[in-house]
Amino acid sequence: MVKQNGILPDDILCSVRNLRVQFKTDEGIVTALDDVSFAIPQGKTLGLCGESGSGKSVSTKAMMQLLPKNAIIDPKTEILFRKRDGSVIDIAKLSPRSNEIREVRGGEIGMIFQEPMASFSPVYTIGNQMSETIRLHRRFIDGQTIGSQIAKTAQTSAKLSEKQARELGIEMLDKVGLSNASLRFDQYPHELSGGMRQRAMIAMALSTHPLLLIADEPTTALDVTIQSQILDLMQELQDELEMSIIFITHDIGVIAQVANDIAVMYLGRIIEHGDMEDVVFDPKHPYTQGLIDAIPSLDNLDERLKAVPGDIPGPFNRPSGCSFNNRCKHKIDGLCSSVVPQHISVGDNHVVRCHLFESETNNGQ
Amino acid sequence: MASEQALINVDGLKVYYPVGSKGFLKKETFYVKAVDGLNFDIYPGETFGLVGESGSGKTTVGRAMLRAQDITGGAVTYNINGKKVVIADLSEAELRKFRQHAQLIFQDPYSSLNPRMTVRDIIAEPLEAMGLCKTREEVDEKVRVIAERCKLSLEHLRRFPHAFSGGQRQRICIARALVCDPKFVVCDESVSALDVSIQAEILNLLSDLQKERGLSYLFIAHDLSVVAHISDRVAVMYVGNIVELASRERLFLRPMHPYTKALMSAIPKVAKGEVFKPEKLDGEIPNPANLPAGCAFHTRCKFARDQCSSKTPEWREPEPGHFVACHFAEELADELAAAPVLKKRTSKKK
Repeated sequence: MVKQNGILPDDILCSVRNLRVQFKTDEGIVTALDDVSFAIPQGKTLGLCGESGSGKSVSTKAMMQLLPKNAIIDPKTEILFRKRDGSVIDIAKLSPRSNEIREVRGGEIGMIFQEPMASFSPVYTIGNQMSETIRLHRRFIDGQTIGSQIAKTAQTSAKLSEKQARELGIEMLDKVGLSNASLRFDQYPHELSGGMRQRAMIAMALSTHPLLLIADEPTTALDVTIQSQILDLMQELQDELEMSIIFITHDIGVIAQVANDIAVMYLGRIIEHGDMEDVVFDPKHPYTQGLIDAIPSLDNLDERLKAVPGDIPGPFNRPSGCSFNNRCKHKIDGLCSSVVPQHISVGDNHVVRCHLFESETNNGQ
Repeated sequence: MASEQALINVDGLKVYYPVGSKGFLKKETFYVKAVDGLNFDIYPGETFGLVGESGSGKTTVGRAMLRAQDITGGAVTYNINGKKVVIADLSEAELRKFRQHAQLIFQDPYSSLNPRMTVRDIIAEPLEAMGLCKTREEVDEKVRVIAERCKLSLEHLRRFPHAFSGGQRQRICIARALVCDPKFVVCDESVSALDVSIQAEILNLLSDLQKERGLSYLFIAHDLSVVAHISDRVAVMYVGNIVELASRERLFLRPMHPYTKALMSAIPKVAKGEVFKPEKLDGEIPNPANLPAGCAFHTRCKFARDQCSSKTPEWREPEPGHFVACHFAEELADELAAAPVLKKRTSKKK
């Protein structure tokens, strides 16, 4: 189960290869993810974007083994993750109920969910829920400050007392900019506003100093003014704690602010992946182009908005070949609807899955 | 500002919600002032955008204008075919009849369609409820026409809502709202729940329908770039009051209220070689049950002076058609227009 370090390059924290997830449902088997591969470098942010139903959330849930019982992860899937102590584990091979995954989940990989209301329990105080996490995942070493507790030996020493957990929790709440943190610590989730709850959620996820933070649409439910506060906060904390982030959103405007790399997903496949600037300003895949053109811009108010024609197909009538072929205006007859395009490199760190680029370069994987 | 040709005149609209009482024998009742004295007109064929953060009272305004919500004070007057109708004075039966002129499209297309009715029945329901058609054939004909216009096929009409995607569901909602041929439609966050590619399509459909049918929209949204695209005039709300109202161009090029500017600069922008640095607006919208004295925005305003915390700013018209509630609007306008939202990207990234 423990892989050798050589398989995961040193600057990569986590690498997902050939992730394929299927769901058994009453109506048949649904393939939610097919051949998804990406890597997250240390301290960098990967933006995952795509429309609803494209598999953004499923791929990150698979990384934490949080998928529902009817999900099947393909045996060829590899999810390599470098733990704090330097050892590399394959999360895909762990049982969702094993002690090993429980240590990783919350402790090494933190998660922020979209609905700040739904992800706190309404019957416990914010503090109660925070100290539970802290006491489960943090260990206290005498004389060491909180920052240096990220040290590799952290697992070996004693659990934190309730009081220590409280102090740490209040400090985290303070750090995410909640005013009057010691009061907030004892309040129930319904007493906080949406923005405050999202901050508390971030504080909770970060209180364990995770190596990787998965942020699943963390700002979608918030107002624009609060959204920019939260995005700023996340970047400050990333610089301070040197963690990697996977940022999931359907809003390319948001992703352009925070991400180093972007992966665009459509119906369970990554169709374009590359450096943020390359993907946003020089999109290659017709779908990415459509997605970016559809954003209403303040610069050309009188122009008609450019919609991507058609609707996203349901999970049971996924088109064969390239899954975008039924909405694509550059469709090549006979090819796109039968052959699944492979990853084609169109530049330094810029990969696209589209038949249009096959003739130009042939150095795909 | 009441005018003859306006379709709807809103005059001093107030909606208060009682939130418990205090004092001896609980004689003193306390209110949340969700909407506190709004004045505006909506003209035929116009899209009136209403933006603001959550809790600012946008939805309450929309509901009050349709009398889906009882109002505490003021009046909403419709001008239907030259006849003035004060909506608060209508009886239940008259109101039911009146509903054919004013309709509502909701935010969430997943919860606003009855899962046990076919799409045909959903779209036909307003016609049947208001008794606008005599025969079933007439109903079917109207449903077919509007469904086709909203890009729903005959095949779709037989199905149930669960078989549709978000964009298709929103088109069903639009068809339902427009089947009785209204003059005024409230779109309450009607595209917020949709993905961008679908959102663009729905916005295009809404503006096409507006041109064909001469509709007026009250377009409520928290996303300024969406509102900017569809609206002719835009009003910015902040805890129960409109702080600025102007034509789209004036509002975006020369905002006079600091809140408008802050809201606009918080919209994420995508521009090559430039890093997005929004003007920071600290803090959150105040609790409407416990409003700060004076200008409600002074707690978050970086231009706030002594006067702002004591005196409530008046609703003024410093330029023709440009209304604002700020003591220092003229002074601030130049400053606000000058500050660029986009700055050069530093090479911190990569």
